[in-house]
Amino acid sequence: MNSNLSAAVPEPMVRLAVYPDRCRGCGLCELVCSTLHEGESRPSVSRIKVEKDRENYRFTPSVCVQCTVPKCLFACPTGAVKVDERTGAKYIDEDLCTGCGLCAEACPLASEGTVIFMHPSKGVYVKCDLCRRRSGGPACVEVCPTHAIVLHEKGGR
Amino acid sequence: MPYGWVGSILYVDLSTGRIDELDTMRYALKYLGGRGIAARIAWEILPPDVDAYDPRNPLIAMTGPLTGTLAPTSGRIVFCSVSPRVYPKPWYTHSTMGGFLGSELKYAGFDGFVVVGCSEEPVYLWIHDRDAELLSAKELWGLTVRQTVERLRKIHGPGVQVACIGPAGENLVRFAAVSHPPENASGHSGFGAVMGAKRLKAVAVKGCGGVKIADPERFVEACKYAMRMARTGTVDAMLKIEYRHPIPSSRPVCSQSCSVNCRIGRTFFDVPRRLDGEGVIKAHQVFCIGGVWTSSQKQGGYEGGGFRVPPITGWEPGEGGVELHMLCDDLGIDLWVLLVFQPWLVRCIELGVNELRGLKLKPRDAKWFQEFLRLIAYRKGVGDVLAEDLRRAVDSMRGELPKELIELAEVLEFAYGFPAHREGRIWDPEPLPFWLVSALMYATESRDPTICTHASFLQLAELYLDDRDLFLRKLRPVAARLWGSEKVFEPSLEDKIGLTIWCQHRHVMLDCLPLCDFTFPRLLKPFKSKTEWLEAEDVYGDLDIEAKLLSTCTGLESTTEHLEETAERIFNLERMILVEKFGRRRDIDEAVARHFQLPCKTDGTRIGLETFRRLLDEYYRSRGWDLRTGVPTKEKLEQLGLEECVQTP
Repeated sequence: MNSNLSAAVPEPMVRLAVYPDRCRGCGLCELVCSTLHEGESRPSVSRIKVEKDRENYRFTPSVCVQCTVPKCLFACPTGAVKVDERTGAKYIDEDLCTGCGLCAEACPLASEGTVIFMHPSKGVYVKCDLCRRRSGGPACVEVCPTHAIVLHEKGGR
Repeated sequence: MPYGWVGSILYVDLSTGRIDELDTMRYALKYLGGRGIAARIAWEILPPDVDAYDPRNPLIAMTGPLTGTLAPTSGRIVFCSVSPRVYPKPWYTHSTMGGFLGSELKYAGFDGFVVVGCSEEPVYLWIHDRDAELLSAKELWGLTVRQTVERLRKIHGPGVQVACIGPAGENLVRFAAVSHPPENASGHSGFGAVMGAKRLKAVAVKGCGGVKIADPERFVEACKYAMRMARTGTVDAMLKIEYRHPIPSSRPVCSQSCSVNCRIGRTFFDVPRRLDGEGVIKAHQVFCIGGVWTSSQKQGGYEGGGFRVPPITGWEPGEGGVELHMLCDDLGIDLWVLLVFQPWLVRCIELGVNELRGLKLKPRDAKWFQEFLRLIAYRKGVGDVLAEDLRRAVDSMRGELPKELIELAEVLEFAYGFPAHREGRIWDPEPLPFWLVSALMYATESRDPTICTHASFLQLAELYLDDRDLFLRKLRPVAARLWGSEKVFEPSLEDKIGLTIWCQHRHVMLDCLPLCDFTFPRLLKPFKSKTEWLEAEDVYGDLDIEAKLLSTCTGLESTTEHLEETAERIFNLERMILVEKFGRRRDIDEAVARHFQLPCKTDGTRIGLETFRRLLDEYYRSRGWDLRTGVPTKEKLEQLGLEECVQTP
């Protein structure tokens, strides 16, 4: 990793943090995410994913944490992984994505491709963009009834 | 492609193995979803006087336009069919269920499924991403509910959602559930036995699709508003426990999209096994009636009108309560089996009947009850008789039992064989006017109607019982605003018809959209504590939430008036199914009056037959039903766009 490159990537204004112990598996985060990003309530294309083990009441949300050193961005050969000017969120420009999957492979968070994954109908990779176009910020945080997903602001804890 | 609905209903004929599709939008605008679309399909295909186990009896499972979306508590599905539990003769009814099956079905591309016919060999229906097939269930037949789910998850992957039957359904126990583990079931109506008769062991669903939303931004705002209005959950929560935010996380949701601070569930961790084997049960959750199973406190019970119903006692979690609850789920029996049979069996002993056909009775003993559940599920010994449900069981033991035990069975399951529930006598304490609204609903519906009217009205009884004068003072303006009379909530017989019909229509609405009846409608504001309730001047909530959710989800501008008219159409269509196909008339409605001649356990009030008849007149008049027969009039049916239901003289 070229440290000069990473120094050039601005810090996001906010970060999402998940607390699996607080999650009750209602799926509202996945539904609001897919509704606002895709116009449909569809967990399979939600940028936040909750692994649900209902028999044992274990729920594990996973979402992009906006790494300071974004391996996905450096791995992308077409420049499709971009940094939003306003929020500092790393997002994927669907017009530039060729679907090669190098970003997902580079992601240090999830081997199964839950954080960055291939959109099943569009043939491009998608990931959390911190609802960069939404004035209120990430919608999943607003609908989570148990504060299992929270916003950490830059400079804060 | 429509918004809200996904556009297609599976039509599966088990006799021929053929699978077709129906166009949802042929029904959706007029009948909404859930119970509405199911009723319309039943009207078309259900032959008259069909028995529950007749291959021609369809089992219809329908979601609604909100199922699978962000709308809070919308993760529901409703089953409709001819119910083997209905006494004395099965007729068409409904049974709703939460969980994750309904949403998964929509993600797989289907709004519902209709199953007709009967398979020669056991099969299961595998629905996945716009496709469906019938597969052999020979290897699954005989397995318990949990074993079945485990096996299907091994075959189809861990994310598969399953509704299935256990041994009780296979053996045609009349109160066998359609189970959807770990926590949900469609229990009361005995549709598990309908699946058993069809040799349909399970329905397994997996889908990656979605539900298209007409106006995503406005829909999200409508959902967030609904979540805020519903955040305190059930009415009783505000009296018992101060509202806490965020919601305690040790309480997993029972259903997709639930945002609510629900107080009807409890989770147990590391429960030691007492009855079978060793070790601990790592985690187990119970809802509503599950709380009765897992508590040794006395609950319910009744004395009056010459009857004594002994209270029910469950068992503490570590004393078998959790294990028995799990066993009941696993065998696929309606959890109400405890509430119906235990008091009756205890009364047997009190009256000197210590054994039934060779079975010594110890109904408060956990170990005994475990064996009892198995006898029923596998129809062994006297279990074969009791699997017919209490009303039919006492009919076949008439010569062997004292008269009081026969009459007690008639009291415990007074309405068409369904257990008494929130009628101010046997089980819950609703005083007048609450039980009166229950009584009129019982008289005019196909099953225990109180099961889905908690938030609309019946749970308000808890506020009434807490401080009657305060309750009445706060509710008078609401009553005047909604029903044009301040007397609606008074403990009297006056001005109750409008409220009754409203409760019934709200029930239909919830079963069609669908939403959870412990949460909606929001008649009252979401008070976070008793103090807030005490201090509030205006207590009225918002009854337009449902229409806002529907409009922004589907893009069809809906209003509360439009929804209420749709609910009225569906209610009348269901009535016509009973009238035309099962001979329902006024005399059957009147038969429940007898139960309400027993004094209310809280205030001693009751109603004589003549007064009941007078109220029924008033009810029929309001509904536009014929006073003599109780059949919806031609004018009413035409007004509702139900011309095809008009009877030819």
